[in-house]
Amino acid sequence: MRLKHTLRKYRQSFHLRVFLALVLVIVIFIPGTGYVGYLQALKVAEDQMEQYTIGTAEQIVKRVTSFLAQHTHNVNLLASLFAGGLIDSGDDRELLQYLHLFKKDHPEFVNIYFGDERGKFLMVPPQSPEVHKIFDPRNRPWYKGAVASHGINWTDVYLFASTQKPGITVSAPIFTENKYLRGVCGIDIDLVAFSKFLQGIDIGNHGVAYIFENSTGHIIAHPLLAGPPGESDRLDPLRASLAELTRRNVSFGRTSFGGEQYFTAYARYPDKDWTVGVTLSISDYLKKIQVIKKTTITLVVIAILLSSILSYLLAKTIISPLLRLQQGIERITGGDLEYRVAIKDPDIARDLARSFNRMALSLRESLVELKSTYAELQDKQKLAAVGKMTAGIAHEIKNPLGIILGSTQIVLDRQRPWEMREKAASFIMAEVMRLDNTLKTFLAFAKPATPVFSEVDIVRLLEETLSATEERYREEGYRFVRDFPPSVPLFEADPSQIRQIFMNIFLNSFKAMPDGGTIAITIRAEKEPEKLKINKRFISIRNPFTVARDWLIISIRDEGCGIPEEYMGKIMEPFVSFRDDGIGLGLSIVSQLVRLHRGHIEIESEIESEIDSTEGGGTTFHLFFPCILKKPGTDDKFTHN
Amino acid sequence: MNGADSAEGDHEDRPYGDFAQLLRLLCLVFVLFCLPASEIAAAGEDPPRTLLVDGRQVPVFATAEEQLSYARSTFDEAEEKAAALKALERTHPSAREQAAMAALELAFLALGDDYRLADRNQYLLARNSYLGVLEKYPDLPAIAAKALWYLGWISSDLATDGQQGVSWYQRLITLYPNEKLSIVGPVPWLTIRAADPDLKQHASYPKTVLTWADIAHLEIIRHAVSREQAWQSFAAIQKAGADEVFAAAALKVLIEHHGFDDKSERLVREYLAKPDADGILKNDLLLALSDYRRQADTPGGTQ
Repeated sequence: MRLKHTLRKYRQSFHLRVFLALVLVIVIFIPGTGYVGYLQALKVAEDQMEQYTIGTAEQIVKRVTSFLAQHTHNVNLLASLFAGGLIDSGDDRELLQYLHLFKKDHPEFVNIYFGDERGKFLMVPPQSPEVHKIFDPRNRPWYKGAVASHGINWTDVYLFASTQKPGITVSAPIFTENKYLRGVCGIDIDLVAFSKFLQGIDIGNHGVAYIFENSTGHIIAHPLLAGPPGESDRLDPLRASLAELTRRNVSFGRTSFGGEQYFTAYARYPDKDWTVGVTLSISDYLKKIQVIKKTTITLVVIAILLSSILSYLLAKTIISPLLRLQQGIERITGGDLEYRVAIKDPDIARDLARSFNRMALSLRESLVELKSTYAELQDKQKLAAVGKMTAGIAHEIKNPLGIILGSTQIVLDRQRPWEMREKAASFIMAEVMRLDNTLKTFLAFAKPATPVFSEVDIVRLLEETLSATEERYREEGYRFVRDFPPSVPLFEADPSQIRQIFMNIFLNSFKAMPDGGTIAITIRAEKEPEKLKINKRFISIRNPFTVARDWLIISIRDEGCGIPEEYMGKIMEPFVSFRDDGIGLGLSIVSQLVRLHRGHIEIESEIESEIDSTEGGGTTFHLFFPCILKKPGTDDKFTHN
Repeated sequence: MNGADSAEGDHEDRPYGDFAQLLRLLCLVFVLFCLPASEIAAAGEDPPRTLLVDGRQVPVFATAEEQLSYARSTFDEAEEKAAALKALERTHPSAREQAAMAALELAFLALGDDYRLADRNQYLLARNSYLGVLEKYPDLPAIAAKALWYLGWISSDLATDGQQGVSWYQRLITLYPNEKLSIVGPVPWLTIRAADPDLKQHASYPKTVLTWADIAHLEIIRHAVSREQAWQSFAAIQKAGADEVFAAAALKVLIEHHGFDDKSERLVREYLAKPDADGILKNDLLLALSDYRRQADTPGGTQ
């Protein structure tokens, strides 16, 4: 219950609502912005990686073309030197020395050689002698290719006879002036040289460029070929990338192997059936992305925390003037019209505070005026009440005094018969007693006794009241019908005053039924009775968080002539009686006592039909008293303010 | 204190002393989040182990095969290659076969960058090296046969002492008649083909069917003083029958160095009649035969 109350209190806190609204905006906006930014950055990074990889592959294609072009140019140069007779192919030693010079100028050339149509072969650096002894250049692919093409020829990858290493050769035929074939010169590029060239291309620490032959699937150039042996397992990611991208029929993609992520791009080498591949391990890159992600999350969390703190302060800044105003309202409501709100906030809050202070000042002035007016009104009301009361008292006293005066004259007239004088004396006595009763009633109205509350069982109290009167009035034709529940809740009341309420209502009913009749008494307890719904709002406003209380309802119905509608609004006023024998204070006293018990009275009345007296009229008095609110198992009493 | 004062007092600003502490905590969290990045950057790899040989750092490999492959790979300087070859004995002292192969390579390096331009000192040094190999590894036929052939080749081709050369070749033929001609293994030819599991990861290269004795016979034909000795060697090649093309090449050498006769002409004609004869050799032999017939038909021409 306490927790619920606390939660409700916080839910109704304007400060908390403003704070939560700001925090909600921040919590949605900052992570959303951060996440969108992160995704954008990731996409841009991947796009750049794609462009970089594809661009690198295309650049490598260009550089390979450029690399091979050097060889093409030089073999062409070599062939033209032979054809021009600048090198004598008939002198082996001269030819050898020239090839050595050529090799010295071009250390990047693996082998430079010349083979003639008679099977002579000279190469720099030299073949191993056992190979040279059985070697015939005319059987080699470079020789055959150059002869067949009659021009520059690039071989496919083949095994060099000298080293049994795979490589490619560019060769050019040499013709005599008569267009007879004199021989073929060639330059070898072994895969190590090719791979060294690729090794020299900077594509990052985690990237590898390689070239493979489409027809065989062999890698013909790879940095591993230029390095130490025994690392061929590092080719597995390339195999996986090739298989994956071939399956997807794309030339760029992201693949994974052994828990590592790779970007691979392929570019066709236009002059040969080769493909240049570039594969980048992006695990490090992804780790960096993860670090960026963590950093972004951290910054978002920090931003949220800082923003929440700032929101709290902002909310406090917004609420603070309102709280000061609220406190001012409470102080003024409590009667402290001298209270003024501190004016130190900017803009609207300051204007609000000024308006409030002006209102408080105006209220104070109005209150002073109101008090003055009220005092005057009170004096006038007092005078009017006194006048009305005096008139009522005068009216009530005037008649007995007239009777007493006439009777006293009779008693004092000795010439009158004794019996008459005795009767006049009895009149005087009766009128004096009547006056005494009238004055007592007046006093009871004018100054009602302070109620002495105790827990009262209404059924028991009613039974006690009826037992004293029921017998006497039954002889006069009156009958009481009870409708009491087996148990009713207790209520706090002064028993004597409640008894007085009932007696006055009973007397009113007796007078309404001069020939006797039935008085029905009903008791019930209800929660928020229908008849009090009109007052429900009042109840809610007074005590908004309490449950509706139980009400004790006593209804007393007679079968009298009823009260005309035009009298209904006046019957509770003092000294208003619609009968000759009443002084008009009975129901006023009832109303007064009911109010003293925090109760409520309602009257329903139906006028007896003049045409058919059997058609029921009558008046019902509904008395509402608040029950004692008791928690189960406790004896806590309802306490009045 | 008036009403306004009391209002100020009720809503007096609270001190925010815990802000600094909160910010400090946030900074700490931030630093902890960022720490892995610096750790990643600091990560590195151990450098490979090396061995100092002749003032050069040589990387040490796990196996003798790897060490030898490294030493056989392409080097810019011969001294660097020599250091790599010498390192093998120290890095893998128990790998005798690889050490012997390294010794053969070292002996060949003694001939300089081009054996065709080697001087007397160089080929004598090389000859001594091969003799050392022969002495040290007589129990390894592949090594000893190659050393013997190289001794013959140095004698006959570089020292131009054909007789001495032939004697080395004869010794080779006698001691190691069936030892296959060793060819240096290629560097692994990489493949990225993964779809076909049966595909070999290394390129296949033709294994020679020739023996050291075959090419020793070929050199004997080339350097034999007498026609008989040459014909004996040619007959040995024919008898071995390892490779018809090689036999035809030997016939061509025989004709070039010892001239035609009826026997050789008959052999040439037989070869030319073969449908699967090598085209180039066929052409060479046909030209040689034509020259011979032209000279023979010419009055006063040599037989």
